Order: sequence, then C-alpha cells, then structure tokens
Amino acid sequence: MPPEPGQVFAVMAAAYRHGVLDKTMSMFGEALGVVMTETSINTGDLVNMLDEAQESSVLKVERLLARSKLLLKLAAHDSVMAFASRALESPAVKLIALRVTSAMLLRGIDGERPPRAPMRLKPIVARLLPGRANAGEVTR
Amino acid sequence: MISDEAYRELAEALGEGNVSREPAVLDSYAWQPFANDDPKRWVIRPAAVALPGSTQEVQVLVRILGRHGLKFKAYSNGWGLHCGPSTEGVVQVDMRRMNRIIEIDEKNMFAVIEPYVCGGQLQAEAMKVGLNTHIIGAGPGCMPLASATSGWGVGWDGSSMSYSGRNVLGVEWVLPDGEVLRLGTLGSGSGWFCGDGPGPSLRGIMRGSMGAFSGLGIFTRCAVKLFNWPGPPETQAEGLLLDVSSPVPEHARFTMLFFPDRKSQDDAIYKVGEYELAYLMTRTSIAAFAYTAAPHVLKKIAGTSALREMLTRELKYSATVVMMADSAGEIEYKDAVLKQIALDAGGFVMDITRAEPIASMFFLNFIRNTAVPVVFRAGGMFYTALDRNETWDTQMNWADAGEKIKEKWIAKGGILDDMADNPFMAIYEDNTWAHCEEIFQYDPRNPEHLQSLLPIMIEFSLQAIEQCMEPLSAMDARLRKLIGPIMGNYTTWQKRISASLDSGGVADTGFYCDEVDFDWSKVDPELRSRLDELLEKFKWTESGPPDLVRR
Repeated sequence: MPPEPGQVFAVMAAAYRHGVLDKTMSMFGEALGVVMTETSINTGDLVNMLDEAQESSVLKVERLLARSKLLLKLAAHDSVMAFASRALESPAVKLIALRVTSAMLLRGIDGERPPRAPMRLKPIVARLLPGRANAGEVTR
Repeated sequence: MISDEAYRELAEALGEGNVSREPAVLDSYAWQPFANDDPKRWVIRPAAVALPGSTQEVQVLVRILGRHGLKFKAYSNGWGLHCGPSTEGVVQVDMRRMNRIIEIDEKNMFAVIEPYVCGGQLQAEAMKVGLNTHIIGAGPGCMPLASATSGWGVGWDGSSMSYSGRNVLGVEWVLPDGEVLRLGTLGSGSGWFCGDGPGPSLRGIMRGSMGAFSGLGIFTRCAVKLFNWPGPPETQAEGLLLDVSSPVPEHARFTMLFFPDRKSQDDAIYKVGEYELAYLMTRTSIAAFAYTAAPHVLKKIAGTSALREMLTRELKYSATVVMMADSAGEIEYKDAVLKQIALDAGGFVMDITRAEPIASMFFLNFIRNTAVPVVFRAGGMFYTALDRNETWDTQMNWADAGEKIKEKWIAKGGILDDMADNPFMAIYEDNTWAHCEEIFQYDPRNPEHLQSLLPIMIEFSLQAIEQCMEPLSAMDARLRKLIGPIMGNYTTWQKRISASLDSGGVADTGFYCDEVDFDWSKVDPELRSRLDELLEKFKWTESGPPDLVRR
C-alpha cells in the first residue's frame, strides 16, 4: 500500500523531535567513513556510483516505499521514536546499528562498483585475440 | 574588420603579443554557447582582441578605437553570450593581464582589486586575515570586480555578504573617451573606502540593479567590501569537486531544513534572517541537488511514483543553511535557535555536519561555491529566469510560477525533466530581501530544446510583468524596446546616459541600451497577444505610471 501524503515527512519530523535523526546522521557518517576507508573510495566515487545506479535498484526503493504505509504510520508515533532514541543510547545497539549500516553500504558499493580493470579488459582481449580469450579461466 | 593602421596602433600601445586578429584566436572568443539561443552558438567574431595591462593602456586603447570608428567590449572571465560583441567592428578587450589584488585593508574590511582577480583567489587571500568575500552563484572562477561594477551579483552567501552591487566601494572607471572617472571617496582623494559621495552618487548610473555589461566604459580597479570569516586562515583540501575533502571548521554547521508546507517554510526563513543565523543560505529543491550531482539516476527516479512524490511533494519545502560562528557559545546558541525555529514550524533539521565524509565534501563546495559547474551535467547547458530581487514571499511566488511554466515545457519535450521545481534562491542581508531564479536544463544539440528557449523566455517575461517584476529579459535588446514603456521608460534614460558618457559611441551597448526589433515568427501568437495586453495595461504616460487602482 503506498504511503499517504505527508507520511514520510511525519516520520522524519518525529525522528527529529526525539533526537533520532541526529543520532542516525552521526552513525551514518561513522559507517560511511569506515566503509570509505576500507574500500578506498571518495565522495566523488560515491556520487558517481549513485548516478550509475541500475533501474532495478531504483525500482527496489520504489517498491519498498510503495509498500511502507503501515510501517511509516507506526514509525511516526512519538512513543516509537522515543523508544528508538533511548535504544540508540545503548552502546550495544549503536554498535549493531553501525555494523548493519556499514554492511549495507558495503554491499551497495560492491554491488554497484564498476568491474576492476582486468575484468574490463577481458572482453577487449577476447575481440582482439580470440585464442587467448579464455586464458587463465578455470575449466571444469 | 580592423584596419591595418588601427591594429598597428594597438600593437604599439599594448605590445605585439597582446593584440591579435588571427581568426583562430578570435573564434576562441566568439564561441559563446551559454545563454545563446542561436543554434550555431557563436557570437559575432570580434574585429580583434586586445589585452591591456594597466589603466593607462586601457585609456590609450579606447582612444585608438574611438579614432578609428571601432567599439570595445571588455570582459574578464567572459563566460556567456553577454560577454561577446553584439555587432560588427568590436574589439574584445580581455582584461586577464590585470590580475592583481592591490590591497587588502584588514582593519577597514575591504580589498582593492583589478578586473581579473577571481573570487576564489580573493577569498583565499582574505581568509588569511580573517575575512571573506562575496562569491556569486556562477562560482569562484568569476571576477568580483565584474560583478560589482557591471553585472548582477547574487550568491548564496548573500545572507551575510549581500549582493555585488551593494559591496562596491571606490571605483576607477575608464570612460569611453579615455578619461578616468573615480567614484566615491576615491574621487576626492580620500581613498577607496566609500562608493558614494561627497555629493550625488554615480553607483546607480554605473550599474543600477543589473549592470551595463561594458556599455559605459571599462573598470580597471575597484574596492569591494570584505566580511568576517570565522573559519581557519587556510583551507586544506584534497580532491577537486565532488571528491573534495576539507576539514570542517569547529564552529560550522551544514544543515538542511524541511518544512511541511510553504507557509511554515516562509515563516521559518524570515526567522532565520531575524535571528541572524545564516552565514550562507539557499533554497534549492532536493531533486535539483540530485539532478545536478546525479542526473542519470534522477532520470530513472522521474519515472517512478512513490519516490518522485516523496522528493517533489513531501520534501519540497526546504532550505540549506550554513552557520558559522566565532566561538563555541555562539554556535551552540545558533544550533538551539535553529532547532527551535524548525520545531515551531513542524519541520526538521538534517545536520549534515554529523556525517563527516559528506560534510567535508560540502564545505568548500558551499563556502567557495565550487559545485556550480555540475549544473551543466544533466544536458550540457542550462539557462535561468529571473525576476526582480524582492522580499522572500515574492520570490517564492516566482518559484511557484516558474515551476508551472516548466511543467508545461517539460511535458512538451522542450526542456529536460528536472522535476520542474528547480529554483536557485538566496537571501540578502539576513533576509532583508531575497532572490529567485528558476533554472531549466537543456541539451544544446537538441533542435527542439533550442527552439524552446525563446518562447520560454517570453513566457517567463510575461509572468514577471504580471507579478509587477522586472524580468531578466530587461537586458535583452530584443525585448527592451517593448518593455521599456512599462518600466518607467528606463530605456530612454539609459540612452541619455550613454549619449552623455559616450558621445562617440565607442562602447558596445548591445547589452546596455541597444534595441532590436523582435522576431515574433518564432513565438506563439497567443503569447504575443498576452504581452500586448500587459504592455497596454502597464504603460507609463507623460504624467507617470498608470493608475491601476482606478482602472
């Protein structure tokens, strides 16, 4: 069921009122920093990856949003956000949230990153040197 | 064409290497795709190009041109149609040799600069002494002197650093006859610190609200106001643009504010001004941010439903506010006030500063306005529709009207789909007044897009007139003749000023007071009819403006 007008905004506003937005921004920033260090990418790479996102990825987000009416309705409740805010004070919860966010970011980056140079050269080699096309491949 | 004699005189006066009439060199100046609805994207090839190196050389240059029946068109970075010749027989005067910062007066907070000092250069030097300069929306590669003396001057640092025409102090102005006019205190030998007096000010003559675009002479030096810079004296940076990373100053905040509706947004923006929170502030839609940084993914999002709705409706009313402070106490105060403003409005604040990797990319891209070139990514070209700078409320009306015009043209395939709401808005002097221009992006290789530019300009002009605003087209020679009579016959006054200061007709006045008959064959007759009605309704008479109350 698609969200009603204003539902996304209501969730964000509730998150802000209870400090959840600030906490998640900090956590997201930390996770992003970790991931960028691990993968040696910079913000320019991230923006370009976002720009090169496949249609299927965009539609995934669209589908998620289109089905989120009840979840958004729940999340917009002050009591839910207040609970989330208290939970995010817990070091254990923060650590889990950080790891989950980092893992999601890493999966997103690995999923969307263009193939490394040797892989990009492979089809070019195949066209130029047909006999050498499968060199190095494991045959079963 | 330039005669051999005239060319020889220029070469003797400026040096052989500082003058050229080689076709390839001239064509490099004549290539002006920006703001150019001619499909060929050239302007008229200049007769020659000349690079003066001093005020004295400029004086000699204009006198040579005057003697030989030639004209001049001066420019500094030269980015746009309005920088090129508008007629035959014009010498392009390239000011790049005059590139020095003459003085930074730390105590009195102004800098004296030559024409080819760019905003980035001046900012870097000013920051060393705890000061900063206004940088216009076109970016740090543009020249503060040109903006201050000759053309527009809006930037999203306007909240704390105003508008270029407001920041100009003493000016050294070479008139078309070669005489030097010194404005303000400079003219009475009292230094650069004031742009006016004693006696009547000539700043309005020099540039009015928009500038004369070299139509009244060549400016060789000016003083511009500098402002407090609470950040570090030097900025360390790695990377160039979207990959740039620079430490965020301790007492800086990058925030994005969102509001549930227009009224709450507008009320909040007024409060941001009243409480003097913003060092820098802009309203640009979320979709616009995405479109400039990631245009390919936005094309995919444009075809969605829930996602598009979220970006264009739910998160429509937003603002980016950068706060800077001189102390921890000050930034804490500003944080708290901003939070209260957002809560009172039923909105929320995303504090980007907390996400360090993103904030470190934002810092220079906003403070130095280096992100601007990405606006060309979507289609290769963009254009803009301005009205008169006025109160925030009127500028939001302009944004809303502009969105409707764009929706129509997007549906027709006349421009690219950026989700229509793509304003560049800024506030001046803590929202004493404000600015809005509706950006639209197009592909200059697409004939349909090129054909749309003129009718779009007419529609926006009509909209401005209907809102009793001065349209950007006020500088366009094709429309000036038509709209002059409804704008106090400003064109008549400009011609008188031009005749008074340039009796020899040496300046290229194409973007100042020239008038060209409009080619209506490219415009819908219904638009023509609407314009004719408005021109009749708002026409001034000998006794003054029309009495619209009685009508």
